Amino acid sequence: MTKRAAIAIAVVIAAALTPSPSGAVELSGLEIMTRVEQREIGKDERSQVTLTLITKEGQRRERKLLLQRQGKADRKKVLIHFLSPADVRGVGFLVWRHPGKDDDRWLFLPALNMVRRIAAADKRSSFVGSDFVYEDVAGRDVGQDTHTLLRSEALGGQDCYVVKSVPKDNRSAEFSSKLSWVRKDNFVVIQERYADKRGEDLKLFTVDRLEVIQGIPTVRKMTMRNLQTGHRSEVTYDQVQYNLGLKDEVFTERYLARPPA
Amino acid sequence: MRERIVGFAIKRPRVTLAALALVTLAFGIQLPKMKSDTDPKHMLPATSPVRVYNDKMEAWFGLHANVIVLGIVNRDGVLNPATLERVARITDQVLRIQGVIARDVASFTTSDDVLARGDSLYARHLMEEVPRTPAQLAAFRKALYENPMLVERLISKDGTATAIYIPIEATANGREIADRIRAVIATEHGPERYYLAGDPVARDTFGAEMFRQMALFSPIAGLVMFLALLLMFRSLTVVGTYMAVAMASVIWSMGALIGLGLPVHIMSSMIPVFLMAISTDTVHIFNEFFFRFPETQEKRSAILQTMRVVASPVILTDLTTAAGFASLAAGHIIPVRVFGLFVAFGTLAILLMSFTLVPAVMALMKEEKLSGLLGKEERTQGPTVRWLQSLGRVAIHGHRAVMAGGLILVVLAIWGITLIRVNNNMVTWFKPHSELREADRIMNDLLGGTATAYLVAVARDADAMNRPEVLRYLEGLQRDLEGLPEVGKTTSLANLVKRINRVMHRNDPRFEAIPDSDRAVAQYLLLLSMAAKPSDLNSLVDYSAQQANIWLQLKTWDAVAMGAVMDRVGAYTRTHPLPGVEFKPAGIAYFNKVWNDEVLWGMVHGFLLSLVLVFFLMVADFRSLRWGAVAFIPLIFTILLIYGFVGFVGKDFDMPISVLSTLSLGLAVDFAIHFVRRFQQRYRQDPDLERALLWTVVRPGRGIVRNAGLFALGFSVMVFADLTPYITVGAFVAAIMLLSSVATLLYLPALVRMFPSLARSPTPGDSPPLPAVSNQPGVENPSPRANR
Repeated sequence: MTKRAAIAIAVVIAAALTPSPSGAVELSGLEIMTRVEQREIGKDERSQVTLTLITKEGQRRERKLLLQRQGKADRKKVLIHFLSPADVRGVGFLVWRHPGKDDDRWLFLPALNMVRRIAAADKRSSFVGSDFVYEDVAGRDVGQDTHTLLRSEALGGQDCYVVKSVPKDNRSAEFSSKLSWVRKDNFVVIQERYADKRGEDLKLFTVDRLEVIQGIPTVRKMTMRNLQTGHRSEVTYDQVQYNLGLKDEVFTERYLARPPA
Repeated sequence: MRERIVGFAIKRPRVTLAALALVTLAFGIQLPKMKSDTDPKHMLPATSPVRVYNDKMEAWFGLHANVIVLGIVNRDGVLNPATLERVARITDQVLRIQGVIARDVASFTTSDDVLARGDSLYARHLMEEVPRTPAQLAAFRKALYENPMLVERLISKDGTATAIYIPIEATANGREIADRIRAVIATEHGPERYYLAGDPVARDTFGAEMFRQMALFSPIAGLVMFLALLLMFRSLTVVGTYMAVAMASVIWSMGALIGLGLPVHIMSSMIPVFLMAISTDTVHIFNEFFFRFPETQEKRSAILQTMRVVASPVILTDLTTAAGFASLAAGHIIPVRVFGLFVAFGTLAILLMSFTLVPAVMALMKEEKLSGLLGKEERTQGPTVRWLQSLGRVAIHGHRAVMAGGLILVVLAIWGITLIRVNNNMVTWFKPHSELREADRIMNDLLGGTATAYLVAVARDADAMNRPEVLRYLEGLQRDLEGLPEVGKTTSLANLVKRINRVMHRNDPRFEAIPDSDRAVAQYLLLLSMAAKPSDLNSLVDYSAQQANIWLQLKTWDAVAMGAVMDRVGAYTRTHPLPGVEFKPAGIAYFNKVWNDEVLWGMVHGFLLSLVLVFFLMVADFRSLRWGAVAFIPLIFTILLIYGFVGFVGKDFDMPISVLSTLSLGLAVDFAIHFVRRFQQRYRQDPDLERALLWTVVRPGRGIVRNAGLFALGFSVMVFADLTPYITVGAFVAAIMLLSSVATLLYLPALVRMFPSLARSPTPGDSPPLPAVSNQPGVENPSPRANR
C-alpha cells in the first residue's frame, strides 16, 4: 500500500469516526481535499461530452467525445474517443493512473492507424487546445499540494469550505496557488480560482449545473475561463450513466484502436 | 488694426509684456503633463484599414505586437551546464516582471517540444532540467538541431547564441521592462554577453532618448545662438528679446499641444527647434531699427517707421511659413498632422509677438543706450558689408555666368534626386555603435531576424489549411521568400505538420514531409493541441483552419525590405496560382512599410500643396505674378540642391528628411520675401537699378546673412546628438539656411538684372510711401529724405 493511499484511508476512517460528520469538528484542508478526491462517484461511468472552446472574440469550436471511466482518484482509467468533427472522428485517448507513479497515456490516430504512448512528463499541457490542462481531466494527487482551510462561506446558496492549495514543488503546476470552494454537503468542488506565479488571477473554474444521477452528485456543465486571455472552455456531460459494469478490457490499447461506430 | 496694436505696445510696454507673460504662464503650466508616444502604429489613425486588419489578425492568431528579444551569446557555445543554468535562471526572473506576458515567453525552459523515443511520444518543455552529463548535453543538442523550428530561433546554427522571446503587454513600457531585464542580467557573472533587441526596446529607448537629447541640445543650440547674437548686436536686450520670442512661441505651442492631451511624438519633439529657426523676425526688426534710429534720432517714430517697413515682409513670411506647415495637416499621418498644426500655431504666436513684445521692448530701451549701441554696430560691420558688396557685384555684373552656373547645379541636383532611395528604418535612428544597433546587428547575424512580418493565407472555405496541397504550397512560398537576402527564418503550419509527422514516425527523417490526407493533418493538429501550448498552434492556424499565418523574420528594419517581400509574394502567386486562397501581409515590418509610404506621400503631397500656397500668397502680396515667380526661384533652387545632395550621398529619404522639406520651404521663402520687398521699396526711391540692387544685397542682405549664419551655427550643434534624426535635422537646417541665403543674394539680383523690365512692373505693395533711409556705408546713395 502506498503512503498516500494509507493517508487517504486513515483520513476516511477518521472522518467516519467523527461523531458529527456535518462539521461539529472542523475538518482540516487536507481532510477536505481528501474527501473531495474519495467521494463516491460509482465504479464506472459513461457519458457524452461536448467540449466548446470560445475565444475572446466569440469564435467557437465544438468537439464531441465519448468518455468511459473506471475507478477513481489515483486508480482511475479513462478512455476517450472523439465523435466529431468528422476529420478527427475516432481519435482515441487512454489514461491509466497509478498510485505514486506517472500515468500511462496512449493516443490513437485512425488516419494513420497508429497507437503511440505519450510519456506523461508534462501534466500542465492543454487538453485538446482547451483551457483545461491534462491534470484537470485525469486528476491531480491530493498529496502534491499543501492544503489550508481558509474559511467557510456561502456560494450560490451553498455552504462551502474555501481551501487554499499550494503546490509543494513549484514546478509541478502552472499555478502558484488555487482556491477551491467545496460544498459541505457533498464535497463537490463548485468553483476554483487559480493564481499564476506572479500571484495574478489566471483561471476561473465554475460548475454551472449539478444534478444527482443514480444517487451521485454529477457535474452536467462546467466552464474554465482563462482570465488573462479571455478564452474559455465549456464542457457539458450528457447521457451520463454510472455502474454499467464496464469490463477491464475496455481500457486497453486494443479497445483504444477500435473506436465506437 | 496692426498699427493700433503696435501703438498700444509702445504706449503701454509694461502692460503688454505683463499680458504676454501671463498668457505664456497659462500655456507653461501645461508642460509638466507631457507624455510621449513612440509607437509607430500610432502614426496611422486607429480606424485606418491597416491597423484594423492588423489588430484583428493579432486577435485571430493570439499574437503579441510587442516582443522584446534577449539574445544570450557565448563564443564557446551556449550548450554547457553553466550557460544553460543562467538561461533557466534568467527566464524564471523574466517571468516575474510586471508587464511581461508570462504564458507566451519563449525560452529553453518555457518552450514545448514533442519528441519520439521508440513508440513513445514525449510532450514536455524543451529543457525540463538543465542537462549536466555529456550524454544529457548531447541529447539536448540533438533535440534542438533535429527540430528545424528551433534552429535560428532558440539556437543559432553555430551554437553560440540562444534567445528569450519576451512578449509584453500593449500598455507596458518597453524600455522600463528592458531595464528590469538588464537588472536581472547584471546579477549573472559569466562569459556570456547579452543583447536586447526588438521593436518595443527601440521605440521606447528612442522615446526616452528623444527627451534627453532635446533637453540637452535645445539649450545648447539656444546658448550658441545667444552668443552669436550677442557678438553681432552687442546688446543683451536684443538677444534677450529674440530668446523671449522663441521661448514664448515654444511654450505656447507645446503648452497647447500638451494641454489638449496629445502625446509628444518624435515629430512634435522637434517643434522647439523648428520654432527657434522660424522666430527670426526679431533679428530683421532690430536690424532695421538700428539703421532707422540714427536717422530719426527719435525713438517712438523710429519704432513706428521700423514696424511699418518690416510689417509686410514679416507678416508675409510668417503667413507663408504657417501655411506651409498647416498644409501638413492634409496628410493621414497623425503625428505629422499634429506637428504641422502646432508649428503653424507657434509661427502665428511669433507673428503676434513681433508686433507686441518686440516694439514694447524697443519702447523700453533707453535712448542714450541705443546711441551707444549703434556706435558699436558701425564698427563691426566692415567685413560683412565688404563681402556682401562683392557678392552683389558678382551677381549684378556677372549675371550670365551666375545663371549658367546655377543651371548646371540644377541639372546635377535633378540627377541626384533620381538617386534618392525612399526608406525608413527605426534602428538606424540610433548611431552605428549604439548598444541597440549592435544588439540588432548581432542578433540578425546569429538568429533568424529581429523584424517580424506576417503573411496570412486566407481561404474561402473552412478546413482549407488541413489540405495537404495547401500546406505544400505554403512550404513552396516560404522557400521562395527565403531566397531573398532580407528574409531570415520563416515558420508556418507546414513546418509544424512536417515536424509532427516525423515525430509520429519514430523520428524517421524520411517523414519530414506533409502527410497525404486531410484527416491525417487534422488529427495531427488535434494531437498538437494536446501536446503543446495552445499558443504554439493558434499562432499558426485559426480555429476553423480557414486562415494560416506564415511568420517572416526579416534581417533588417528597412521599409524597402518588406516592399521586396510583397513584390516576391505577388510574383509567386501570379506564376503559381492557388485558387481560393489569397495572401495578406501584416505585422510590424509591414506596418512600418505602410506608414513609411504614407509619410512620404503625405509629405510630398503636403509639400506640393504648400509650394502652391506659398506661390499664391507671394503673388497676392506682391500683386505681381512675375515677382511671385522670381521670388520663387531661390526657393526651388535651394530645395533642389539639398535633395540632390541627399541623393548623391546615399542618405535614405526617411521621415526626418521628408519633414525638412516643408521647413526648408518656409525658411528659404523668408529670405526671398525680405529681399524682394525691400528692393521694391528702395527702387521706388532710387530708380537706379544696379544701385538699388546693390543696396538691397548689402543692407537687408546683412540681416539675411546674419540670420542665416546665426541659425546655421545654432543648428550645427545638433550634429553632436546621439540620435541620427536630430543630426540630420541639425545639419540640414544649417545647410538650408546658408544655401538659401546665398541663393537669394546671388540669384535674385542676377535675375532682376537679367530682366530689368521686372523691376519696372508696377508693384503697389501694401506699404505707404516710405520714409527714406540714409546713406549706407560703402554704398553711394544720395537719396532724398522723405518726410512724415
